[in-house]
Parts: sequence; C-alpha cells; structure tokens
Amino acid sequence: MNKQAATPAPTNKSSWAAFKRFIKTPKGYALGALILLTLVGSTSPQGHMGIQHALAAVIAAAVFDAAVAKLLKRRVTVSTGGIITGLIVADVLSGLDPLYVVVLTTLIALASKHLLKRGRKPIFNPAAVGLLAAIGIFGAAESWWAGMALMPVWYLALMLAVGIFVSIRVKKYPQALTFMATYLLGVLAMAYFHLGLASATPADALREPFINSALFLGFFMLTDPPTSPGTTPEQVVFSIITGIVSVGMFMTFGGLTYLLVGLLAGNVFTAVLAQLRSPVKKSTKVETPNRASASSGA
Amino acid sequence: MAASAKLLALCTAAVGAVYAAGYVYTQPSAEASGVSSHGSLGGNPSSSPSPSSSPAPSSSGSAPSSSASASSPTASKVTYRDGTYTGSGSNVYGTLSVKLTIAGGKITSVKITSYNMHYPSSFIYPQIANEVIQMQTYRVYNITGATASSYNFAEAVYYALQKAKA
Repeated sequence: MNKQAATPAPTNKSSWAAFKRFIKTPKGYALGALILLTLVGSTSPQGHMGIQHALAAVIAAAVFDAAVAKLLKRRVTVSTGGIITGLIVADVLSGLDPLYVVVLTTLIALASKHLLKRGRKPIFNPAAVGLLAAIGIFGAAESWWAGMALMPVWYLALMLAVGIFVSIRVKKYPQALTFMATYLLGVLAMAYFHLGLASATPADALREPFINSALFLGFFMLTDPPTSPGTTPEQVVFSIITGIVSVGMFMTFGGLTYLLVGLLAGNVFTAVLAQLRSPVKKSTKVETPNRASASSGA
Repeated sequence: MAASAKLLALCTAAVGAVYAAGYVYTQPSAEASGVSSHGSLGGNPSSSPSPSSSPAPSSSGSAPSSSASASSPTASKVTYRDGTYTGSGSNVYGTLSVKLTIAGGKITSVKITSYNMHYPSSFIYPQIANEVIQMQTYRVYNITGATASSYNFAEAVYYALQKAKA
C-alpha cells in the first residue's frame, strides 16, 4: 500500500496533465459534451442500442483514422476528431438502424474528411456528409437520440445547457445563436405565410423531435472549427446561410436532410471564403504530423 | 467583455422569444394535427383519422414520415410482396416488434412478437392490429391513453411494410 503510494508515477502525472490540457481544447469540450449527451440519451428504453452503436462508431473511427495516418506515413495517434465524428454519427442515427450502417456511415464520413479537403482542412462537415450518404445509400433512419429526442421534453434543458456552455467555451456561441435565430425566424415566417408542405409543418419543426435535431446540429456540428469560419462576422454569415438553406429545404422537400444540406451549404461558403482569402497551392508542403492530426472533423 | 456578455444574453433572450412566438403561433395547428408538445412520442391522444393526425412512425417520427409523405403508403398505391415481414418501433416509453403477413398483396395478419412498453399490450392489441388489416395501412387511429404505444406499433408496421414493398 505504502509502496504503491510512494512509487513516483511521472508518466501518469504527465498523462493527467496532457488530459487536463486536452479537455480545455475545443475538441476536448466537444468530446466531453458528446459523451455526456450519449450517456444520458442512452438511458432511454432502447438506449443500449445507441451505446453499442456509439462504441462501434468510435472504434471504427479510431481504427480508420489510424490506418489513414499509417498509409500517409504520419504519426499514428488516437484521432479525437475521428472519434467526435463517429460519436455524432452514432448519436444521430436511430438505434433501430443496423450496426453495419452505423459503421459504414462513420467510414464514409471519415473518408470525406480525408478526400474532400482544401489544403489540410476538410471542406464539408464529415458527420453531415456521412449522415446524408446514410439516408441516400442505406435509407437509414435518424432519430438524433443524443439530442434528447427520445427523452421527456425537460431533458432539452440539459442539452441546451451543455450546448451553450460548450459553444461559449469554444467561442462559437454567436454562430450557434445566429443559426437558431435564422432557423426559428424562417420557421415562424413559414407559419405566418402558410408556406411549406402539409407533411412538414412549422408546428413540427418547433417541437420534439425536430427542434432537438436543430439544436444538436447548431451546437455540435455547426461549430466544427475546420469547416466553419474563424471570425465572428464570417461565422454570422455562415450561420445565416445554413439557416436559410435548412428552412428552404424543409419548406420545399421536408424529410430529414434539410439541416444537413443547410450545413453543407454553409461549409461551401467557408471554403469559398478561405479560397478567396488565400488560394491553396497544389504543392503545399507545410503539413506536419501533429498539425495534420489537429484538424477536427466533427 | 461584460458588454459582449450582456449583448449575447440579450440575443439569447431574443432567440428564445422568437421560439416562444413560433411555438404559440403554431399551437393551434399542432393541436389540430395531433402534434403534441412531445412530438411524435404522443401525449395528445387523437381520435381523428386525418392523415396528418396519423402517426409519423419512426424512432424520432421523422424518417418514415418523410418517406411516407413521398410515397403515400396506402394499400391502394403500393404493392406488397406476399410473405411474412418483421418491424420494430421504439420511443421513450419502450420498444415493440411485430410480424406482419402479406397474402395476395394485402395485409392479412399483424402480430406483436415482442413488447416492452410501460403499459400492457392489451391497451392497443388486438384492436390496432385489426385497424391495420381493415384500413390496409400503418396509418391507424391513435388509441386514447396509449398514444406512444400506438405510434410504436405504427412504426413497427411501417418498417415491416417497407420490407414488403415490391
């Protein structure tokens, strides 16, 4: 007992210090919030399926990103960006979807991160690409269960609190708030002017489970650093574009894809903005192993 | 910094006000269409058989409802392959599975094969299964007092019918 206590553990100490440093990074906050919401969301009666899916997605993401790093002769590390992507995919896909759909969706999401790049940053939010592909290819159901969509309505307060806390810490709260403002104003306009489909009404959009998906996307997907602008004014424009396209898609087509398409439209704006500011040179060789692995990918 | 925080707090309140306005403004249509404060999970038992009051069967109420709106899955428009198909539905109140039989292109039997809901299956079964057979659609009446179970049942039937589509 004493022997154990007296044993110096410098490795543990440094690991703990590294962990403390990590949880204060944007990815640390995002990962912690997603783990919390996944655990809480999994307390729903069918939540055990969600937990299994989340574990499978996380493992698949870590292995895939490690394999890509190995292939590209980069330092192989645990890809927290990949894990965040895997968690988001599992958190959004319904617990009733087959496990293989969750894994394949995660792999598609991560493949998009590595393939659809501008410089070293992904152009599109990887999870959004994967989830959109899952609907198109597998006809997957999406329940946004970690957005508390399957929980009693007051669990929304938890997600709001976590979302606001994280977005403030990562300095993306104005962005999330602008998106919600645009989205809600658009839905209100739909209701006032009697626009949209009979099957996708503003009343639906403002209530569970649809409002959960908008909040989850706004707080945890929209705020992905590599695929959203860095400055507040640009973030505001990005969010307005995302909100308008989302409402437009909801009004025109209904269905499930409207938020994801809106986010991808915002991502295009980010990429165009970045390209205008500093065109990417084909022969860029500034990438280092650490910097490469630092790009998120939620 | 303090001014910025105040501005953000003010904006947050404004967004909350927009949400509240939209919620209140759409409440009559939500009530008319059977959308409860808890979305597809029920809480507002409806006895109206209009399409919009029918369950939007998915674990979130969104996936199949979107498909449903696109394909209008009534027996008169969709053909099904003969056979036995299974489907599951789940929400906050539990999970249930059904086994659905198609014969001659029509739904001839729907049986609950697993049931893990808070209320006993006798609340909805067999009357809701009879409605599915009678109306040849998953879009059945909600059973008052067992809305969540009705939605789950409809969702399970929906998924089974998806598998049966020719």
